[in-house]
This record gives sequence, structure tokens and C-alpha cells, in this order.
Amino acid sequence: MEELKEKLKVQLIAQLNLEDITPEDINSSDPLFGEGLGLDSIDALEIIVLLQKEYGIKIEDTKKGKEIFQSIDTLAAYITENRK
Amino acid sequence: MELYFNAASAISPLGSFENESISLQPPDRALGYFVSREPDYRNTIDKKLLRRMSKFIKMAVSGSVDCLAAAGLEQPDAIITGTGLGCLTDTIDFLQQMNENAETLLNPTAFMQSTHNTASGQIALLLGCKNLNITFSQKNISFESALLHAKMMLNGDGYRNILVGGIDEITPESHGLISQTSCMRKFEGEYPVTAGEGAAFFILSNRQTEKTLARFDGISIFNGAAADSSFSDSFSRFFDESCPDADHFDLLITGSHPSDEVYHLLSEKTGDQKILRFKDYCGEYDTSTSFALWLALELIGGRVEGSPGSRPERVLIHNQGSGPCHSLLKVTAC
Repeated sequence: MEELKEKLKVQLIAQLNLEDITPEDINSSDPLFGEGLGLDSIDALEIIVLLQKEYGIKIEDTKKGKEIFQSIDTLAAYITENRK
Repeated sequence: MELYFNAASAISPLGSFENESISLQPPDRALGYFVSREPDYRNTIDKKLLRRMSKFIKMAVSGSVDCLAAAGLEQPDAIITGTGLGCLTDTIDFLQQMNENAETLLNPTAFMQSTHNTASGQIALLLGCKNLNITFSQKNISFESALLHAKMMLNGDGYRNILVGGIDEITPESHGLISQTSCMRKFEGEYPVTAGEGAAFFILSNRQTEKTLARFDGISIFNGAAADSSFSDSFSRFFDESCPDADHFDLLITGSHPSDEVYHLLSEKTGDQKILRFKDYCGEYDTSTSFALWLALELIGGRVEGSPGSRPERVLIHNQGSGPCHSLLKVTAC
């Protein structure tokens, strides 16, 4: 799980072009949206594409997104449970 | 109605941004094309917004913010931009994703940012400006079309200050493609034509202020493909109608090449006045006239080191690209 979390941090930085941020700057339990990394709705779409492309996971129920995308911890847990 | 350029800002291969004076030195040709000397965009754009912006949008937003600040304006009455090829980086990203992912799983950012009106839209969003914003894409007269539109609006009612700009970017991929096509004129030898890029923005106003850089004395566009006689006859007629006072200009800034027929026609018509080939400094791109206009304003303002001759008061700008269209712009010191 820890390895997946580190990989996710690298992927998010690359995919969302998070300038001046390194994986070490991201705390796995910090919120990704609003405070914390300050991501927005366009980033959420980018993460949905990333999950499908890299992990074969399609989020059917968009209402669950808020819960899944809460932090690196929740994202990694969801991937572990649902990856194909 | 008389119109004035009350502010100007450019990002170009000449290193024109945030410099009090510039030096007319040809840029580095090492890449095979000229790239803009970009400023630290963090000084003008929020870091959170910056991460989604390509060079095209960064140049446009920084140039327009700087231009508005120079004019002492918070918002323009309209935003009118011109671009020949639009947001190439994002367009190429988007097309590559379509190709690699079999038209599925496309990232939203590249898609959203790939439209030609992205620059105008981003400027409007950043300023919170709900006035008109529009983009002209007319090959090598894109900027001229934007300027002409702004001129017509200012001659009407209800407009005072319009932000007008020209932007185009070059990428290794686009340069590779353009080089293989007839999209760019090819000259080698003593005066090679090099592809380039840049963004230049202006506040065009129907009010003269203490910040006014020069008076705008008109713009004319000539479409050689629509000419009903030989090129030299029809261009001569167009020139004589547009510039009956050609002898009174101190400087001709042209985008034509010494090998072009029009270069010799212009030399004959304008007599012994100095000729400056502006594409030696910015390269060839569709909206390069915006750079030429910025350079003319800098020359009139005496802010260019190594400029040919004395400080000009009346400048005639001519441009042509790979297409059949030519343009003439006239600016005069106030």
C-alpha cells in the first residue's frame, strides 16, 4: 500500500502539473481538494481519467468521488479494492 | 476619429518584456527557429492557474496584464486577439492522446485549452471582464483583423479602451510540420527566414493620455489572390491608395524578404528611407505584425539600442506571410 501511495503522488504531480511540489510535500492523509493541495473540479476529471488509464478503474457512481478523492490514503485504498 | 496606442507589451525572441530598453540583436538560431525569451510568469499569474497554462496562454495573459498595468487600466472595454494557429501545444497534446488512446480517455485540460479563443477567454476570466472577447484567426492577417475590428468599434459609440493582441507559439512538432509544407516561406543564404513566435498586446484608445505612445494612422489589407491584374500593378495601386504620403515616412518596417518582388516595389515607392526587416528579430509567424507594431512604438519612443538612423516620428509597417495577403499599418509620434 505504501508503494502505491508514493506512486500515486508521483502520478498526480505529473498529471496535474503541480509545479514546485514534490512527493515529499504531500501528506497521505491531507485533503486533496480545497485546503491541502487545493485541487479543483478539473483536477477531479483528470484523476478519473488517470484511474481508468493506469489502473483500469472506472468510477460509475460519481457521487462517490468526493469520498474516494479525499486524500492519497482514500485513493490508494479504493484502487487496492477495485483494481483489475 | 483619431486613435492612439496608449500602452504596449510584448514577449518575443528579442527579450522585450520588462526591459526598459532593448537591443536590436538577432536572437539565437540554434534550435532552427526563434523562441520567445519568457519572463518569470509567477510575477504576473497566480501559481495555481499557471500550472494549466501552455506557453501560448502564459504569453497572452502576461502580455495583456502588463499592457493594462502600463495603461493604468483595470479592465478594457473589449478584448480582441488574433492568432494564426492557436494553442499548438495543447492541440498537439490532445491529438496525441486521441491517437494513443484510440479516441478514449482524453484528458480534459488539453481539450479545453486547445481552442483558439482560449487566450481571450483566460484574459477575461483573470480580469473578471464581462465585456466582449473575441479571437480572429485569419492566417497571416489574424492580428490585422483584430486591429481593424478594434478600430471600427472605437469609431462607434460606447468604447474607449480596447485590448488588442496577437499571439502565436511554436513547438518542435509544429516547426517540423511547418518546415515540410508551404506554410512558411523558405529563403536561405544571406537572409534566411526563420520561424518564430511571440505575443504583443496594445491598448488602442480614442482618447490621448499622458501615456500615449503614438497615434494610429490606419491599417489596410491587400489580398493578392483577389487582384484583377498582375501582382505588381495591383499592389502598387493598393499602396498608392493606402499611402499617398509614402515620402513622408521616416522608417519602413517590413516582413518581406529582399528576394520578394514586393520588397523592391516598397523600396521604389518609399524612396531612400530606412528599411528594417523585423523578422530578423522575431521570426516568421502569422501574427508577427503585432511584434512589428510593438517595435515601431519602441523606436518612436527611443527605447531601442542599435536602431537604424535617428528616432523616427512616422513609421510605416508592411507585412506578408506565405499567403496572398499583405498589410500596411501607419503610426506617428504624438
